[in-house]
Amino acid sequence: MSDSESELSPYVSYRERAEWQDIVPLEQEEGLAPVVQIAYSDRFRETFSYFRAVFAKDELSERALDLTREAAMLNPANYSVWVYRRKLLKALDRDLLEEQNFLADIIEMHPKNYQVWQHRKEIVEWSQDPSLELEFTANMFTDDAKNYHCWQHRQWIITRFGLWDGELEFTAKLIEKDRRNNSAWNQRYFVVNHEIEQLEATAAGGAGDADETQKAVILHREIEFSKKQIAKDSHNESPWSYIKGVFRLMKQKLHLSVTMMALCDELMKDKSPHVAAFLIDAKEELLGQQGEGGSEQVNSILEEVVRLCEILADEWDTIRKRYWNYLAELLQVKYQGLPD
Amino acid sequence: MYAKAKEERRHNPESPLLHRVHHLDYLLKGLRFLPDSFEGLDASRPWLCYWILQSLKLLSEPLSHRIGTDVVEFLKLCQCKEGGFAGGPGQDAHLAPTYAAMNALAILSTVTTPEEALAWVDRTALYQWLKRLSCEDGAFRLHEGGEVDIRGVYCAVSVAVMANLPVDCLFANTPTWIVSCQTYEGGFGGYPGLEAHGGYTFCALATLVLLQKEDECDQDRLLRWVAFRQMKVEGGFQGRTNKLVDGCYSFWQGASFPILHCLMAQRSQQTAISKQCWLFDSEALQEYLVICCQHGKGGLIDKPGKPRDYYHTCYCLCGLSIAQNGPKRNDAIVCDANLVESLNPVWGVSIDAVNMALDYFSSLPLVEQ
Repeated sequence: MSDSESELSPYVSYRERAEWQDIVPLEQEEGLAPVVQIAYSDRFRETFSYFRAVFAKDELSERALDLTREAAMLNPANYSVWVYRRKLLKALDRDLLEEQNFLADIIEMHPKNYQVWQHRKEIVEWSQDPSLELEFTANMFTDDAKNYHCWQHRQWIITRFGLWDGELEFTAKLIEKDRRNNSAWNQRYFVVNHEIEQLEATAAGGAGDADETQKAVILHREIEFSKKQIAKDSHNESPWSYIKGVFRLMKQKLHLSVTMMALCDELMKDKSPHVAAFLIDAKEELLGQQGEGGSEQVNSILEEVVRLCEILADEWDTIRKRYWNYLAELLQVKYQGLPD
Repeated sequence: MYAKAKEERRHNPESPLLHRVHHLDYLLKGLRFLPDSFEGLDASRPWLCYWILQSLKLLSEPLSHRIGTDVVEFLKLCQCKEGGFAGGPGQDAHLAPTYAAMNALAILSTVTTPEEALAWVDRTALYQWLKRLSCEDGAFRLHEGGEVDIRGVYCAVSVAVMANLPVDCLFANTPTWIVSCQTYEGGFGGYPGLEAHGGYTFCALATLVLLQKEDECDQDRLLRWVAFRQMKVEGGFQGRTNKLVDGCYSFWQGASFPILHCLMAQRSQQTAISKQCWLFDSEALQEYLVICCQHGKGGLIDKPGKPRDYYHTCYCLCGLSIAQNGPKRNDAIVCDANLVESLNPVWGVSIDAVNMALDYFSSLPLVEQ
């Protein structure tokens, strides 16, 4: 009775199927005065009544497996069905590759459903075979390059099976395709973070200096990469948050980067809030180092920061006026001891 | 649409209006009957109860004791003997409908009585079930055999705190796990490594507040990130950097502002402006919601052109509530007829309902660990 295609077979009522005669369908409890009552179609109502019946007897059979497929396709968000299906797949020792094929289809139909992705993850964990996953997720990204579940699955596959090779290039390709794809930038950070973790792990083994040099190489690489994208559009938030994040990861100071500070000065003419915000953050670092309370240098830097906040609040980024005014005041209180 | 609204206001100073009557119609109908197009929410019926009840509450719609009792009776059918609530009678227990059910019951405790709405909740079984769902690293599965992500953490902590369950052991490692979800952008992802996202950020911040561990995350970077999620053209919020505006983020992102406001006050980080208002453009958000997010036939939506649903109706109204009810005064745009009630941003439930439930559960004996 089961289809190998992921489509619902033409409906034949369970009541009329010879192989289901022994089962008494279990109706859903609704109580005397129903609320949020859904007007189920006949097919839906009957399929789930039969599902409840086999579920109640914990029947582990082929026909129960087929039933879970029908039920899952009618409501893929019914997590109880998927849990039961996994139990059945194990008990019947089914071919997991076939299940992956079924999943590929149903995920394409319901790409933002939690249950189908979790099911795929469980199948991969059970089979210990990630060989299809990078291609599968890459394929899904051609439809929606920001699908959160897809990125989650891909990160899990990479971490679980150590498939880091080539991922940096993968993020570069996606960013080349759409420099505003923040998910791709996030993935790049994910990879670079791992690179650094690996370096630090090796360094802990006694290769101290090599670690710092390699980190500097990576930082330089990422600055150049981000700079290239920023040059195409300085109003794109993604590369700015990214590169600031990488500086933090490497425990490096923004204001000490000649490249970045020069870039900002050059780009002020674009009136991008991100340029101004970068400068504010760089100058705040400086303030933090100088210590608090009214030296001339502190005051001069503080004046610059306040001026930048004002430009943002009044001209370049008025939607965030309250935030920029808040930040200016906060920093003045902190570094000048202004009464609040 | 904004140009049209401006034009409209020249003739009618009372516009744009919140079309209360239409929304009430849509909500009251859905509380009883839903068409077959809702089959996909058949495992989320407690959510439907919460979204609809919370929306009605915000619109100050009085509910009869009768309808309150009916919803309570339905939620009883969703309670699982192994603990927690399911998405529908006979299904497995799951943290999301559990959270929704508890929120709905909190609202119902003000419609019926706390005893009627809450006394039958099996707190012992609930606690045991939460223990089974907990992971060693502090995270929580959404259901047995289910996925792990920050929603599970928020739902677990929310119901545990509301129901007065012992939290110290159960959530010992949870704050650390949550903090590991804060990304380089300043927001939080659903799992360590994932992109900063409005829904998951709400879960993170609200949970840290409930566990009184707010200082473990970087609040300054969080504030910067969430402030940047307001769209300068539309006035509404986006869920992630460089994505589109959506009415529901009015709550998921918007709620961070009143929460951070309280935290800043605790750390003596208030300034003149932050004492007056939330640190986002609340007028622009209200305009987005009232001008662009009302469906012609009732209910609220993601953005113009999208269909209405109860989820968006709830969260658009919750976002509206936050925008209108600032730290000092009520700021409804245009007129007070648009004013909706205040809510507690940590639960997404009206203040009186949260307090009623907290009071009731705290009067009950402690559950055995």
